[in-house]
Amino acid sequence: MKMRFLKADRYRELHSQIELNLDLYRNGNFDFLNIDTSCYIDTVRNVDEGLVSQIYCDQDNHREIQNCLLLYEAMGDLSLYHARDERLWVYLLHTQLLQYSRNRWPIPQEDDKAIKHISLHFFVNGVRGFERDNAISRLWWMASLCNRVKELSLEESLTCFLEQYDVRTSIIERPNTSQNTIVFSSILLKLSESFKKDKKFFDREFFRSAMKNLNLIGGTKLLSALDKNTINLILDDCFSVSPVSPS
Amino acid sequence: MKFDRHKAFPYPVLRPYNDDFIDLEFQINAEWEVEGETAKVKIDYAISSEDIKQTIEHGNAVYISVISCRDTYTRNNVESNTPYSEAIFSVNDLRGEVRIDSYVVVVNDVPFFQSPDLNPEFGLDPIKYGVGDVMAQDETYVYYFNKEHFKPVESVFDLVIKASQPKGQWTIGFEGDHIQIEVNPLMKASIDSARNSKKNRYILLNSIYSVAVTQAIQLLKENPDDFSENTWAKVIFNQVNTHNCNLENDPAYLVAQKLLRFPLLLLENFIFKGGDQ
Repeated sequence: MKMRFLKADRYRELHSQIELNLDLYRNGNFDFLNIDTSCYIDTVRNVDEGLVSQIYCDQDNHREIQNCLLLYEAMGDLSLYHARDERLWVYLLHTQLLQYSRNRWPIPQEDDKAIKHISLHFFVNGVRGFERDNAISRLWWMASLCNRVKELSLEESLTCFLEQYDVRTSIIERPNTSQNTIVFSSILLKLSESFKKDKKFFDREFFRSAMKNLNLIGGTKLLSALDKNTINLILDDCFSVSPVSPS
Repeated sequence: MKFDRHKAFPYPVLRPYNDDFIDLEFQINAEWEVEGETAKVKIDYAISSEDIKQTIEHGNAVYISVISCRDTYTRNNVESNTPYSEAIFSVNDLRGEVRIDSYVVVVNDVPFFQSPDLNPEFGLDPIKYGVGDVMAQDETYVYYFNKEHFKPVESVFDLVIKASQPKGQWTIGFEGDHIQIEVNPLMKASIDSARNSKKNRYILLNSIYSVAVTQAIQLLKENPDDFSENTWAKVIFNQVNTHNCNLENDPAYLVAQKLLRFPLLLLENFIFKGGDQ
């Protein structure tokens, strides 16, 4: 199927009418977005519909890794620029992936909570909406980040990256870590080693402490100017220091 | 490593708002050129410390700019031992805020750095810089990147219905990302229908749109900061740069003509001369 973007005015309209559409979000569908050609912009790019149709989850198994892999492959060579366009994800979410989104982020019973919940997970809000909150775009962005690690397969990278919410957040929210491919790859390699052994590095306090150590070094040395070996030596030091126990 | 004027380094760093080096400066100038699918950034470095310059000339330090885009997680370094460097990006890899952080960074240990320009509080002993240490840092240069900003100015206008509008009157809303031209419902239908013809579009460009662009430019001349976050303003600012206009000194109506590529010519060529047949 063709990759489609919701038209900007339709996006605004949909976002402003969450309350009006609560029943559709809970039990119905937004098929009119597929039928009414004034709702979307067709592009020349394709989305692999077969792969998209395999994306599902239930309450007991979110299938995060599989769904990241499926969506990333389904979207083909989607550019970073377009991946940062909320209209793309919101269209896909309200059409092909509505049921998945409902299952992954169940809509609260209470209307007020439901409206906020839908705005957060069914649309894109704020700085980290793409990679953290939107039910669909987060899958693609996590896969895109992990795909930068050349030393591991995408599945291996995702396995480490998605293992622990705090670890993932600590990485994403530090631009010096998540944007710098060498630093990001080196950290994921460390996590991968730990994953195969005792998973010690996934301990919340331990990982935070290691990131704090890295921040301290990054405060006086320009990590971007350092080569891979030097970064690895620095990380060895950061990850070798045990966290200080709170007194 | 973000620029932070309050940050304390364990060694002297030449940077703005700081007197580790007395009366010296390190500054960059960056210019973006966007053509087709590529965005090229050209960076000039100016440093007035002869001792840091020498360290660079001896191969022990380099100019480095880290170009990063938070939205797309794109980050590239450009490194040079001359006071100029450039980098080329795909426009598909940049979106939103693009930052350029520039430094002089040590690439080989500098165990005995001395300079008469150092603040005397560092004492007389030579300074030791290690690999990765920063000798100079400039403030972050921020550019807001959006393909839409390179689109024609006309692309930021939306014709919208305002039910209470008298039929012949139109008003302009500048609050959103796009400029809203508000017309009566019947007029909206009439203009929508008229826009199917190229001639009519040229007439609209010379009437409503010319006036609206002029008004938008006037607002930006008077209060540039009030609209700095609105997409329409970013598009206009970008087009003002592209067309080498001087927003401060040029009259708004002249800037508008340049940005709309002199729409009177469209009337002459396609309507007065009976073109568009």
